[in-house]
Amino acid sequence: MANQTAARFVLALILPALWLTPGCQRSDRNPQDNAAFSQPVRSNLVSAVSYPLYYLTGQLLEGTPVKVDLIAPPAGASDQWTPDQQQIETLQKSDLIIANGPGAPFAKWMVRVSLPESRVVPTTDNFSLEEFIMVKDHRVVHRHGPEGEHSHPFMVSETWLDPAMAKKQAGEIATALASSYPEMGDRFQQNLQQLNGSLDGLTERFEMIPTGSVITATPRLKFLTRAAGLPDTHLLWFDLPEESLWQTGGEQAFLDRVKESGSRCILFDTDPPNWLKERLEQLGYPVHSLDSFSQGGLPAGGADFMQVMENNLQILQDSLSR
Amino acid sequence: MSWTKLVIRYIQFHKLKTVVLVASIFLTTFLPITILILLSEFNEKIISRAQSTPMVIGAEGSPLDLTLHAIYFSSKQPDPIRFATIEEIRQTGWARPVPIYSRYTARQFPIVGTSLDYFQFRNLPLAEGESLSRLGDCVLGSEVARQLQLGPGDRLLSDPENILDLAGHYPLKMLVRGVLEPSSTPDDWGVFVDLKTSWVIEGLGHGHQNLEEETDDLKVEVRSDGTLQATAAVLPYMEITDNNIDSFHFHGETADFPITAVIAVAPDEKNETLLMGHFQVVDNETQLVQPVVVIDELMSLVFQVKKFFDLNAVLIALATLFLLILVLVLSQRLRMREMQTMFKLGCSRGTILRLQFSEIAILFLVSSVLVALAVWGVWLMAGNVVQSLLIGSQG
Repeated sequence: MANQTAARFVLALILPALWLTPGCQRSDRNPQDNAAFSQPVRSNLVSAVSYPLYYLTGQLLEGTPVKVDLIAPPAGASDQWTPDQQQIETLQKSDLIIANGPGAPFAKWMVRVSLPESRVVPTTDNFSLEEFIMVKDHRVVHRHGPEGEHSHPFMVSETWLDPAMAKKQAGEIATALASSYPEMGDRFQQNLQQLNGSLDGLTERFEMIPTGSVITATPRLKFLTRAAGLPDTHLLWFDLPEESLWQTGGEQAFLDRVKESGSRCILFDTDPPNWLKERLEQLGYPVHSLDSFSQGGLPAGGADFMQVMENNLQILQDSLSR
Repeated sequence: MSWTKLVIRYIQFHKLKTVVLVASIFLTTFLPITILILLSEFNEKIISRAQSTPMVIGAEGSPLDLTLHAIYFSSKQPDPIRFATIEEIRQTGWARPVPIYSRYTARQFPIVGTSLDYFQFRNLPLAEGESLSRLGDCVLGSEVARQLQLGPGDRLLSDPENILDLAGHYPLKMLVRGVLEPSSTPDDWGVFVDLKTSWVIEGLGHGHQNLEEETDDLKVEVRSDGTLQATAAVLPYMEITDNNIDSFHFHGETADFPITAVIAVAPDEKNETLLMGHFQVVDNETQLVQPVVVIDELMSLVFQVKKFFDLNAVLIALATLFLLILVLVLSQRLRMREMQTMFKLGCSRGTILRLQFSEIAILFLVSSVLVALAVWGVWLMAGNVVQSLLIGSQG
């Protein structure tokens, strides 16, 4: 520091002789300087924001040193769950954050935390427009802004319930992994082929589902019913009906909604309360519960994605054969 | 008495003349050097910032405005572009995009909405605290923290856009998460928030108060039908806390949300060229600029102007030199009798010449030392002065 100061003083002494020298030197940037930023240091950690994406990523990472972490709400958490500080730190240090894309937004908590956006992998980007499912909210009508009374359509997020869509998502994940870990690209390709084989097998099982139609408690099961080729009359029971409201018009609203459906069975992706289950069965609508992974967390009972999907198929088949 | 003593005595006796001559030499030398130093510092700062920012994408318009906004967060914002541009760049795979949305201020410092990638890109380590975690968090540049005396855990309120607009958005009370290390760049003067937090300030996202948990009677009233209604006695600002963060959400398509610039970082020249071609061919509503090219053009203009200043300085120096010669010649004439006396006392012509040259040399030496001291001072302060001028000129 002292040397630098002294050098400046000496330079200041000789500057009077140099002051007419033009001071501007044109300089060119070296694009190589940005290579480090474009290929950041790796932590060999990948995060997934739902269990199906976690499963698909885990299958692709088989036999590699890269780990996958699941960041999702615990069982029973509210829809408005936000990750804690430790989970946010995990996300921030992950090389990739595997998520759905804007056409099928899942993990709404992602808008409430600061993420390294360039490392978020939207796995539904290779879907064609018609492969997404948009549901018009026939129930909620409100008014704000200049457009008067209206309701908002919303996009169904549980894309993985259709194995063909899950296969596409697996392809996107494999591409992102190969881009981040190019030296493991061959391994990812092998794993992808194996995974695709399993998902194709599941798709074939879907094709064997008998014809019919179903009623679903929420549109969350729409990817599953579409994959099975089943016409689906959906209800909007995101919050299950309350008993008091059911008696004062809720039941009639339900009957009005389902009367045009030829189906006599209702598919839930949550467990309905006993009173509702009993009442629906009394009305002639037996209840069947599937798993849509809508909470995002690990499935109950230690089952994996393929087992849950097999189970879903079995329940669907049983409900249609009754 | 030696001839040096004679010279010093002469200078001491003619104080006014000596001061005027030293001041003339000092000013004609110091001012151009100061301009040179400040300009060089300005050039170095702005060029190095431009060099470290490979490409900037923003709305069609002035490339200079866009560049200054992206690298200095200037208040003269270009028109916003859609956030979808980020996705567009990302999907090409040619560059890594870093968004910037800088429209609001906090205590007059620019609020820079960006992603965590920005800190990595600019290599901005934290001096204290933590990085951004959630909506409502902010990280302060070192100068902001110093001037506002804020640190991790403190709160900072965004400035209202228009205090007369009663229907406008409430300011956001942000939580200071961390403070960046000084970098001698405009980042020292920034308040960094997540892009989504800047959208909350914009009013695109909001939370809901749970009136059932509200304990303040002024804010809640129970209507006759038993429902709760919020009264007008609400806080004059928004605050994102542990209690309400879960209720925060955005309305509309994120792809349509605004950003003011995107810094695009390509790994090599090939990808850079491909991206430039993409924006030249595909998109008419946005433009891609290379800050180093824009700033080089600006500095070429500045240095063209400087040539006039240089010429002016040369002419002033010449005029001063002629005046100096005139003063010395006139002084010589006035001292003719004094010189004759010295000659008669036995001084050689050489000694008399030496006396006169020594007087001039001492004047130049004293002036040079003074110039050196002043230039040294300017040099030490130039960095901060130029940085504040650059930041101040944007505000």
